[in-house]
Amino acid sequence: MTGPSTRALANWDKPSRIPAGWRGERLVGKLLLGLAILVLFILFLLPPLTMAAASFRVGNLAGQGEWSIVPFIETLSRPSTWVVTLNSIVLAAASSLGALIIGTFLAWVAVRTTTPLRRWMTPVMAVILVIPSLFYGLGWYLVVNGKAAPVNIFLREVFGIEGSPFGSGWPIMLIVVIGYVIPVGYLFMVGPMARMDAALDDAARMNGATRVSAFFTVTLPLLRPTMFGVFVLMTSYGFSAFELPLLFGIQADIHVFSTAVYTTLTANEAIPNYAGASTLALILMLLVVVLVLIRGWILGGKRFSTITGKGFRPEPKSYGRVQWVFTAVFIVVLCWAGVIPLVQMVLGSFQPLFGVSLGFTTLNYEHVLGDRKTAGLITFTLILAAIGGFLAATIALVMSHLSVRGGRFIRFFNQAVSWAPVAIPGVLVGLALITAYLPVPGLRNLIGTPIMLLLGFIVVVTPIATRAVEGGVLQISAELEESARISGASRVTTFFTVVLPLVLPSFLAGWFIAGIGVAGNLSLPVLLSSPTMQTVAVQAYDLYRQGYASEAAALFLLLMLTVGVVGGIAWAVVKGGLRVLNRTRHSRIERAITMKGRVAHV
Amino acid sequence: MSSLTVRALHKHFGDFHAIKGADLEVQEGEFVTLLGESGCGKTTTLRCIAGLESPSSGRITIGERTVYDSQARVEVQPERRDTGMVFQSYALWPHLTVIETIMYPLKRRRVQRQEAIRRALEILEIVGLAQYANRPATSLSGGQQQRVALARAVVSRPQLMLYDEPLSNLDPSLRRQVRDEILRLHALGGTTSVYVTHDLEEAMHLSDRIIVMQAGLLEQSGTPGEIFSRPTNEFVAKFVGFENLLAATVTEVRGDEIEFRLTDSGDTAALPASAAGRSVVKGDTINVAFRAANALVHSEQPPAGAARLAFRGIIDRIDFLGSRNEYRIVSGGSSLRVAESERAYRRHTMHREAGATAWVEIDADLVSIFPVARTAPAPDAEADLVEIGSRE
Repeated sequence: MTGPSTRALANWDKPSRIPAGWRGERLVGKLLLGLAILVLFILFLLPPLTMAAASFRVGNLAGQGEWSIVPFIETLSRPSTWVVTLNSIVLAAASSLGALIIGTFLAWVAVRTTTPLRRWMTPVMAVILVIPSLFYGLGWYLVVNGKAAPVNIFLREVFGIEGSPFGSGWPIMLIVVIGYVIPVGYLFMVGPMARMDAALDDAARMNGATRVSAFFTVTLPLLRPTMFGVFVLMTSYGFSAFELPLLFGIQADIHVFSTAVYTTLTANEAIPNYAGASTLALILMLLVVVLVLIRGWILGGKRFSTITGKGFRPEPKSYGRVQWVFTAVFIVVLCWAGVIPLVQMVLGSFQPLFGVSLGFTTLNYEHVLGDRKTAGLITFTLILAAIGGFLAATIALVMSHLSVRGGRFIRFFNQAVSWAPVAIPGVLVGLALITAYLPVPGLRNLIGTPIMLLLGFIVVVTPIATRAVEGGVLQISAELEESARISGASRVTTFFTVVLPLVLPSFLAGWFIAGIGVAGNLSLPVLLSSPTMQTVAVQAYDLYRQGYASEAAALFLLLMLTVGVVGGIAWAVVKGGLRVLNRTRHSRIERAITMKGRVAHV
Repeated sequence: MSSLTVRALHKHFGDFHAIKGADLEVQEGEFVTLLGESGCGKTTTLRCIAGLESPSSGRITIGERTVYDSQARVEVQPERRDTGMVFQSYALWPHLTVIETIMYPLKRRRVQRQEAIRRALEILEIVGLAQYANRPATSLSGGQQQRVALARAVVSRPQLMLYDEPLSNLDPSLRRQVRDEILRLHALGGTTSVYVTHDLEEAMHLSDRIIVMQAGLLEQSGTPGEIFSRPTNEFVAKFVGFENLLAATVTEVRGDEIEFRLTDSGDTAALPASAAGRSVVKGDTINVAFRAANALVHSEQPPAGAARLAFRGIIDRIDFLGSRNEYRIVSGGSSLRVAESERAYRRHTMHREAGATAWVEIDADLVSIFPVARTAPAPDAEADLVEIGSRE
C-alpha cells in the first residue's frame, strides 16, 4: 500500500475550470456513452423516424422523391386502411386478452394450488415459448388445411363436409394466435403471482369469502396493474404480428398491418406504394406509442409492481378434486400451444405429398438433404442467429444496466430503443432500415450484404432480448456494485467482476431467445434477403408457397434439430466450462491455504 | 489512517435539500457516529464521503487529500478514495466465496496473490470465520455475513472506515456481538471511522464522539456522556430520552447559579450553571429537562434544598408497566411523566390514585437546561465539531 503522503502528492490537482465529471477517464466514459447513444440512435430510432417521413414522399425508392401529402391523404381516405387498422386492433387485443386470461389462470394454478403436474408448468411453457412462429404456424396450417389434415378427415368422415372449412378466417386465426402467446402471458404473470402474499387470501377467507370469491375479490384486483401492463405489452407486440396472419388471414381476405404492407409492396404495380405502406406503419406507430404511454401510466413509473415485502411464501393450497380439471386444462393448453403443431410438423414432413395422400416416406428429407444448398442455408441461419442473438443480448444488457443506474435521459432513451422496433410492422423493418441507412455514409455500403441482414435482425430481436435480460439486471441491488467501487474497482471492472457474473443466466437466456427469434423470423428476410443469402425461414416459406409444405416442414424440423443440438452442446460447454473454471479457482485458493498451513507447521 | 474534514457540505435531490451545510472534522483514529432519525441526511452524508453520491457543493478532505471540492472542481471516484464501507444489507456478492470476497479489494489494489491470501486468512481468523473460507458468502447466517462484510472492508487497511447502519438488519441478540467485533477491529487497526445509526444505545457504546443530525442539519456534537446528559437543544433532548421539557425564563445568572421562572406554574427555582449545555444569559427562554426515570414521586412536600427541584401537581393517570409505575402529573399546565421503580411503588401504590396531590422531586445534577430559540452559535475558533448553518 502506498503511504498517504505519496497519494496526497499524486492527487494534488490544481483547480480546474472543467467540472470534475468532464475530465480524464470520466470524459472518455462520457464520450463512449455519447458514441453508443449515436450508434443506437442510428440503428434503432432513425428507421422509424425516416419511415414516418416516408409517408409524405413520392418516388421510386422509399423515403426519396418529392414531398407530397397526397399519398398520405389517399391512404387515410381509403376504407381498407381502417379495416386493416380495426383488424389489427381486434386481433392483437383479443389474442392478448385470451392468452392473458388463460396464462393468468395457469400461473395461479402453478403457484397457489397443489394441482398435479404444476411443477412442470413453468419449464414447459418456457420451452414452448422458443418455438418460432412460422414453424408453429405451419404446423397448425397442416392440421386444418388440405385433404390429409386431421381436422378435415374428421369432418369428412363424421359429417361429410368436404374441403378445409377451418383453413383460414377469424376463428382459426384467433385460436392459433392465442395459443402462440399463452406461454408469454403465463411467464409474465407467474412471477408477480408468486410474490403475492398468501396471507391476503387467508384474510379474505377469514372475513367470509369463499375460495372462489377470494380469488376474484382479492387476488385478481391486486394483480390488476400487473395484468394491465402485460396486456398492453402483448397487444403492442401483437400489432406487428406477421407470420400467423399471413398463413391464416390472407386467404380469407383478412389483413392486418404487416400483411397489408407486405401485399402493398409486393403487388405487381409499376411503382411500389412506399408512401402508402409507410402511412399504415405510421398508424401502427401511433397506436404503440399510445399503448406504451398507457402502460407507463398504469405502472405509475414503478419498475416492479411488487405485491409483498419479503419473506412471504405463497402457500399452495389444495382445492380438492377440481384440481384434476386444472391439470386437464394445462394438458389441453400444452397440446394447443405446442404438441399439436409440433406433431403435425413431424408427421407432415414424412407425408409423400402434403394434403393429397396419406402414408409415410422419407423422400422429403432426402430432397432437402440432397439439395446442396441446405447445409449452407442452415449454417448461414445458425450463424446469423448466434451472432445476432449475442449482439442483441449484449445491447440489451448494457442498455438495461445503464438505465437502471443512469439518469432520466438514459432511462428514456433505453425505453425508446427497446420499444421503437416494436412500432414498425415486421415486414417494414427491412425497408425502414434501408431508407434510414441509405443517407448514412458507411452504412450505405452495407445494404445488400449479410451484415445488413444481421443489423436488421439485431434491431428486431433486441426488444425481445431486453425483456429477458432486464429482469436479471433489476435484481442486482445497487449496494453490490457500490461495495465493489468502495473495494477499489472502477465502473468497468465492477461491471465485469460483479454485474456480469450475476446476470450471466439471464444474459444466456436472452441470447438463446433472441437467437431463436432470428432463426424463425420470416418478416425481415422476406423483403431484405437476396437469393444469395437466404435463411431457412424464407426458404421454407417459399417451399410452402410453391406447394411443397411437407418439404418445408422437413427443412424446418432439420433447423430446429440443429438448433437443439447446437444449443445443447453450447449449453453443456458453457456449464462445463464454468464448473471447471470454478473448480480451478477454488483449488488454487485451497492449495494456497494448505501451503500456508504447512509453512506454519514447519 | 487519516483524519476527515467536511466543510459546508450541501446536497440537493431535486427540490429536496438533504444536507444543509455539514461541517465536521474527525481526528485520526477517532470513532464518530452520525446519529439521527431516518431521512435526516446521515446516510447521504456518509455516501458523499464515500463518493457514492455527488454533493451539490462543499469540500471533503481525507487526510491530506481533497477528494471533493466543488470550487476546485475536484471529485475523486469512490474506488480511489481508499475507504472501506460496511453496508446495511451486507452487500455480499452471491457468486463469490468468503475468501474471494475478502480478497476482492486486495486484488483491485494489486496486492500479490500469496500476500492477499495470507491477509485474507488473517482477517478471517480475527473475525472467527476461517473455517468458512470456501463457502459462498451468501450461504452464511446474518451475523456471519456481516462479519464477512466487515472483514472485506478492513482487509485493505483503508484510510477511513464507513459504516452505514451495519447492524439494523441483524437480530437484536446478534447486534451486541457484531458491535463488539466492530470495536475490536477498530481498536486493532485504529482506523478513523464514521458510523451511521438511528440507535442511541449503539451510538453510545461505539463512539468516541456522537453527532446528532436532524433534517439535514448537524444539531449537536459531543462525547456520548455529553450528548446523553447535556443536550443543547430540544430535538437532541427528546432524542436521547428527556421526556419532560418545561419552558422557563432566566431571571438571574449569578456566579455558578442560574435562576429561572417556570412559564406554566410561575414558580421560580435555581440550578447550578453546570446544568446548562450551553451558556445562557438573563432573559433567555429556556427548557428545563429531565428524564422520567430520574424523578421521584412524593405524597407530601419534600424538604426544600438547593440541590433539588420540586414541583407540586395533581396525579392525572397511573400506568402500571410491571417493572415500574408511570405517572402523569399535571403541574401548572404542564404534564410531567415520572417513573417509579418497583421498589418504590411497592410501598406507595395503595395511597396514590388519580386526582391526588403529589410532589415531583428531582436532583439538580440530573436536570439539564438549554435555550429554546437557538441564538446563532458562538463560533469558537476551529471547534472540533460544530453545528452548522442556522435553522430555516
